[in-house]
Amino acid sequence: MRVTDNMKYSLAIKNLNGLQKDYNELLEKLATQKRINRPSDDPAGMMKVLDCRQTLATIEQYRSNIERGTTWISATEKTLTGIMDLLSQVQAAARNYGTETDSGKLISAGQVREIRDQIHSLANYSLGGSYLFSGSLVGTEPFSNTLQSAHTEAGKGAKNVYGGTLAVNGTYTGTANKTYVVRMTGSGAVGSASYQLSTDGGKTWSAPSNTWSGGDSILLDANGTPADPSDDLTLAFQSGQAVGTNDVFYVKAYAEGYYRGDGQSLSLPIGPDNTANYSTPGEGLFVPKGGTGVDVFQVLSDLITAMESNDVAGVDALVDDLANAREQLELGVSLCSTKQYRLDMAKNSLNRLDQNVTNIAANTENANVTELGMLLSMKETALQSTYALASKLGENSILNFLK
Amino acid sequence: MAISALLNTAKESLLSHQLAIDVTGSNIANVNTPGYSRQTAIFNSTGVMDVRSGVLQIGVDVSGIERVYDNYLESQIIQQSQLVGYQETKAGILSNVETIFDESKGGGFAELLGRFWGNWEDLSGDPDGQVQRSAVLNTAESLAAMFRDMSAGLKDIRSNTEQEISSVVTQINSIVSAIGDLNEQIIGAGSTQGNANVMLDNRTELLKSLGNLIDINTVEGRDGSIKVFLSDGGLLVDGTMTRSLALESRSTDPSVSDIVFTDQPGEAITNSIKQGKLGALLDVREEIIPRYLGFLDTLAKGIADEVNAVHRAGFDRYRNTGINFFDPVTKAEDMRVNAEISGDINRIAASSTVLGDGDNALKLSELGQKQLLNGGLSTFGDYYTSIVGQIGQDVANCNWSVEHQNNIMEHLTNLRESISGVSVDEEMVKLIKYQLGYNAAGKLCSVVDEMLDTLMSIHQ
Repeated sequence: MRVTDNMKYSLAIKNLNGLQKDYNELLEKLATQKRINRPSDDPAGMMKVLDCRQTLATIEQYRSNIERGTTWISATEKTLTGIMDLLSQVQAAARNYGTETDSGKLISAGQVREIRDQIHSLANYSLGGSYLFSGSLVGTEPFSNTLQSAHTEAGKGAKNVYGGTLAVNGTYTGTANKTYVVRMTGSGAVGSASYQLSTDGGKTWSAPSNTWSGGDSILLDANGTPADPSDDLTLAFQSGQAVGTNDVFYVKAYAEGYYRGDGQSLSLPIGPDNTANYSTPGEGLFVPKGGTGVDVFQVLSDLITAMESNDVAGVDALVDDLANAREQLELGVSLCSTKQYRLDMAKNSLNRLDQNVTNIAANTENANVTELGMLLSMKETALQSTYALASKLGENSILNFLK
Repeated sequence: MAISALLNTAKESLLSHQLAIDVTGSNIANVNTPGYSRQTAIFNSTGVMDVRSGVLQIGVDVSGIERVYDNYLESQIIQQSQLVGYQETKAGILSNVETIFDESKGGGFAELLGRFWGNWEDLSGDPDGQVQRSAVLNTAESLAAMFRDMSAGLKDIRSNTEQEISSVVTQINSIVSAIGDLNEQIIGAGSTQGNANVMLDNRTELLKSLGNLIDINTVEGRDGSIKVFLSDGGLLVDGTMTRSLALESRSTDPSVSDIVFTDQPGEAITNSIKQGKLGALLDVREEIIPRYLGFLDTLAKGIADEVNAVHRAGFDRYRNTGINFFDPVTKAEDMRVNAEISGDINRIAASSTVLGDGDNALKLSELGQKQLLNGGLSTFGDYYTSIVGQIGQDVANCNWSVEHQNNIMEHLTNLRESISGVSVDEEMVKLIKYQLGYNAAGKLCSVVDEMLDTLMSIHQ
């Protein structure tokens, strides 16, 4: 095969270019300490690294949730412990009441009243603007100061098209607080527009309907006898007004009692398909749930009444209720420990996962600096050899021997 | 044999060897000329004389100057240049696409998407929190802007490709015209020596340049001219006749031009151009960029639709419901946060009820973990990761192809060089050989001159 001068020079250039390219790539990897500096360096590796980063970000979010839950549980536990201490003082006062003098009894009554106010204040404690014991209604103060009779409050969305008035007719007879919501599914006049009704605050909805009661009212709840509509709970609109699509109207219905929250616990994701409840609603803690339990504030109010009216028998009768109330709160404190334990376990598991995923990402993405250093040194030697060879290309020629 | 005939023989030898030295000189001068095929003087004996013992050749001339080349190898190189042109162009464009989706250093779209879901989760813990609401809005606006930027980046590449196509078509027309001119000159030369050899070399180089730009086939005619066809049989050059290409706006998309023959407007040949630089540009414009845009559009639409569906079911701080978080989109370039939300963060529907809970924000954050794309097989993050992986793989494949095709081209070029290239060492040896022949012919002249002197002196 003939070998021409151009072939020799082309080969030298090709080798030089190839070595320079490899050298440059090694320099880049050394500078960034990464073997993947663009997706095309290792497409499958790049995908693995992105997956790992997503997982690490999710882990970080879960850890943040766990911290939030831990802060909440800690605040709950401290508050309940404080309330239990106060309740212990009330229990002592109740036990000793019968042996007190008349003036002593009055002093005891005053102390219990003050303690009740402190307990009320603690029960309405908020953490960062969210009430600890109002269930999912974190923006609502959970306990009223006085016993509330069953009542309703109506309201509407601030951005509604509807500009008329609202009124609630009928009496709420439920045993638990409830929120009714009406959402307009079409625009039109009061009395004919279509709507959907929710009885759980807006989480679930009935099928659309355009049945209005008495022309300008919507039936929220049928109380007592179905045949007698006069005691039903209805939301009355102002006739002649128009409603817009997605206009919202709501009625908060409160059962008789002190509690204004609900029985839902707050929850947060703490792992893949793993959600933890971290709050303790007031229902079941301070007031009965499902007809079971003691109403702490009712017991304290009754105790104050008995103490202030020198009713020793009445006070004695409430001693067991006070003990039950304290047990209720003690159970709440134990539940806090259980919830915290679950969060701690999840945190440990996340820490282990974090370490594993970080290692996988590092092994995929990071360059072996020692190996790179060796390769760089080898490439440098190869480059120098090629430079030396290229410089000698024109030296050997027949021209050197011609006269 | 007469002395004059001997002188004639010497003269022919001198001229022949001088021509051979000229040819060698031409080879040496063109040692670095791209595409130059070395030439060789063909010596041929002329004239005969019968002598008692046999036939004696009494003269020499150079019957032709042969251009040393391998026709099949040249056509292989032309074909290979089409593949090289295609892959190099595609690799160059795809490397630009890769920079748009480069997640290797972090801080890109993937991280932003993760932060978007995380912000919703933070909001769920404090649904009234203004800081958390602002964070959701800011991240959402950054996400929407990134969608628009990535889409715009891809469209810019597509637009640049369109301009490049115009430039390449102009180059093709220029080369085709030059080939036509050379065909005319080669036919006119009527022989394969002297200037015709140089023109043949030039024409071959033009064909390689043309092959680098567009896929062609060639057929050589008996008169030395060459016919050049496109891969679908469309004639570009036929002897001295040439046809040029033009661009014609596509009726369905005026921003895009079809390739047509100037003398056949309305009949697009775009789809038949598959190789060369033009083939790569068309491939990028028609298939590759639209495919990547399609991925991006699917992701944007998916995120917007799913987020909007959950958001519409939730309640904002005004206790209203039913508004979208993003403007409904089908394309990533239109991705925007609803102006009502941008104007008032209290319209973010973080609650599932009218009572100010954070459940709807939690549901929104959970969308990041749900497999809602690819027929329920991929999360939004997974889908984006697969886009990055796809692009990375396409670029890696292309880079490998470039290297592979260039290696083949280099091998073919070396083979061609081995056959047609000039070796200075070889030419030097030939120079010595022809110089010796010339010197010998000169000596013959001197001898004949002495012989004539001798004859003249006899007469005196």
